[in-house]
Amino acid sequence: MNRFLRSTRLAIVLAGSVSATAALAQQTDVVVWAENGTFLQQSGLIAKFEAENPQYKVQLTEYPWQVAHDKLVAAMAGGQGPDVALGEDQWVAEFAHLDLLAPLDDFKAKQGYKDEDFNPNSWSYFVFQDGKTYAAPSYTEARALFYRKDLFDAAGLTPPKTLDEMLEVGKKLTDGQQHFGLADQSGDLDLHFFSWFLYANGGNVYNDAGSKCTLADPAGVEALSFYKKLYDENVIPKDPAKRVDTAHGFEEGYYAMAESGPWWLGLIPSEAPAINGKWAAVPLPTGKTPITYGHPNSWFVPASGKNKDGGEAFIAFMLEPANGVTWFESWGGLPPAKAAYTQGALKDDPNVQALLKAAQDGTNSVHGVPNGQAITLEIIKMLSAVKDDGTDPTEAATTACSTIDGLLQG
Amino acid sequence: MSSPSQIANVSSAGSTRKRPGLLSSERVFIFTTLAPAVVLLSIYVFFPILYSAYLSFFKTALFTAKRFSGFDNYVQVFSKTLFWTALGNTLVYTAVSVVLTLALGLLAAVVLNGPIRGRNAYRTILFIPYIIPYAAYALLWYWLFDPRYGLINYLLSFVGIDAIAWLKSKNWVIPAFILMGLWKRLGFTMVLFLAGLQNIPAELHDAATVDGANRWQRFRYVTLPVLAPITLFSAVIALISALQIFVEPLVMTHGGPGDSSQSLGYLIYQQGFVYTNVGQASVTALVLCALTFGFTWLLLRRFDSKDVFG
Repeated sequence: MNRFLRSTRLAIVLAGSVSATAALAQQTDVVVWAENGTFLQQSGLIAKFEAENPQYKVQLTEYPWQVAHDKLVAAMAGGQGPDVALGEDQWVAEFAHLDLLAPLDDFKAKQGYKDEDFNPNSWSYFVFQDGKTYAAPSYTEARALFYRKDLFDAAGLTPPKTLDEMLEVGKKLTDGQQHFGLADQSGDLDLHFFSWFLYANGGNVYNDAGSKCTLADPAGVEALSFYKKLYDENVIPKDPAKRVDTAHGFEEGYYAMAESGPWWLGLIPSEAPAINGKWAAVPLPTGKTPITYGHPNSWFVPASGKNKDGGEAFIAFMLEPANGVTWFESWGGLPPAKAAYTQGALKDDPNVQALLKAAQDGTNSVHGVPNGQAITLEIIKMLSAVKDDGTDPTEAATTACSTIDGLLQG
Repeated sequence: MSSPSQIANVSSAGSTRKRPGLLSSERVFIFTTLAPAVVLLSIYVFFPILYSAYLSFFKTALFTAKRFSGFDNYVQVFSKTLFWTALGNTLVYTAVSVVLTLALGLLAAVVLNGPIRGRNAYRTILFIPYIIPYAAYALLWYWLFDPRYGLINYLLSFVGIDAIAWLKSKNWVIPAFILMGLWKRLGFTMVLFLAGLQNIPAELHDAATVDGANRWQRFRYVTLPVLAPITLFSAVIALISALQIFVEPLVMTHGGPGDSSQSLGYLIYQQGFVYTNVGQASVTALVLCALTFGFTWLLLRRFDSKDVFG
């Protein structure tokens, strides 16, 4: 009997070893590229994916946002791209235009994803001019107005609901030396900041066909004039030497208001606990339209990827609402799936709801056109001309359009 | 450094020896030991330069030449103000950086070559920035330069200087980069000069002292001439490094405010990877390559043609 039991145990152990070895032998790498600060590893999602999909082993590489676009271009052009990558919205059409991406229409159909199950502007955002879908939504970029409740209460003010109100409230909270109404932004964040005014004013960077720059149209010039006025009126520091780091300025109370995204919901409690209870987020003040700056960011599968199935499996995993909630809890990226907002930390958080409202009211950004990244750079230069050189908004917008028109042609 | 006469002597001495055959063991040894370096340089230096020259005459799709376009890329690049802004910024940055790095590097080496208490600690402190990764270096200085929360303006406030908008001002952004570069490269230059100073035979200084030379004269007519090869090497390294300024505008300013901190290195990157116009990026890369070779050649000629400190 003992001998029988020993033999049986040995057989079971051997069978287990053989099957584990076979699974390992069949295991393939899924090369994932993401940006620093999106905490894929720390959130535990990579380990969970590997546990649920033992046939895959994730090779995660993280890059800073500043260089991720260019790393991807170089790698994909050289046929060395990852199997799946996290990226900005405007990159998708640019990469699709250069034939660097694999379409995801079949994947979307196979998984049974329906547009109505996602936040507005999710899958449709990544349909290129050839009618194919080249990316899946990764997380929803929406913005809110963060304000210092203590400063508002002390001044007897309430958070603004319109852009005009924001200008007036901002003036009251500014002394021009130690306190300013609204935070300065720089680089890409400045582009996002201005885009809010542009879309709220009914403007756009280009026409519906994506063939002509419209920044110099009346709506665009008005938005740029409003942006300039915020500096001219010292609501945002006019003197560059007084334009300080946005988050630290908000923490100190140097800035009473700041436009920012969902990552601040986690950042402020952890990095600036001293102001817990002294701040809140409200929907961005609106202009002529309720539309503000925002967009989905993307998961895409490079055409050069060697494990497209693995890449798609990873996207499917990340789009599961529960995993979206886990991801949000680790760094603040809003899940694109609507079902995520009925569970976990997202359900009852008023700050999250303020951001969600922005996404649902309608958002826009540079997307769906070739050379999106280059177009955004031209807009940033235009903003610098207006706020640093005092260039007339019409002249600045016209100059920007003279370059953007060429970029839109691909 | 070999003088022309020394080289001539070696050549003439060599000519009296029997010329080795093509497959002599001496030649085989020379070829085999040189081969790895030649192969690597060909792959990573010579081929990219030649391929860039080739691409500069083509309309490109990423790294593939699509259509011959003659000098169109050259006309496009040279007709843009942005190129001349980047060129001007790069030259100003390089000129000031190289001069300051050499001058202060030499000064630090002379001071720390003397009998100063804790000099090894000072040497280490000055050298550490050289080994800090570029991304960390840029982020560190980004915070140091913050107008309100940065250490630089805080220190300046003690001497009554108002806050400077370092990275947010068109006038201050290049000086800010120069300051950063100086901090990063000073230690390396100091180490090179220290090595040179410690190899100067004491007899030379003793002889000059006996001849009545004072401290300055000994430095001017003994130390500096003996350090000429080290100075040349340091100048070439500092020059090449400064001409390629890239990380600072990439990480800290995106070339701004406006285009005020554009450099040729960053422009190549933008043309190639943001505007995906590799043909135009190749033109700018060739200009940078020509500048690097040209200035290096001038330095070599200047140091080789005569005793520059004599």
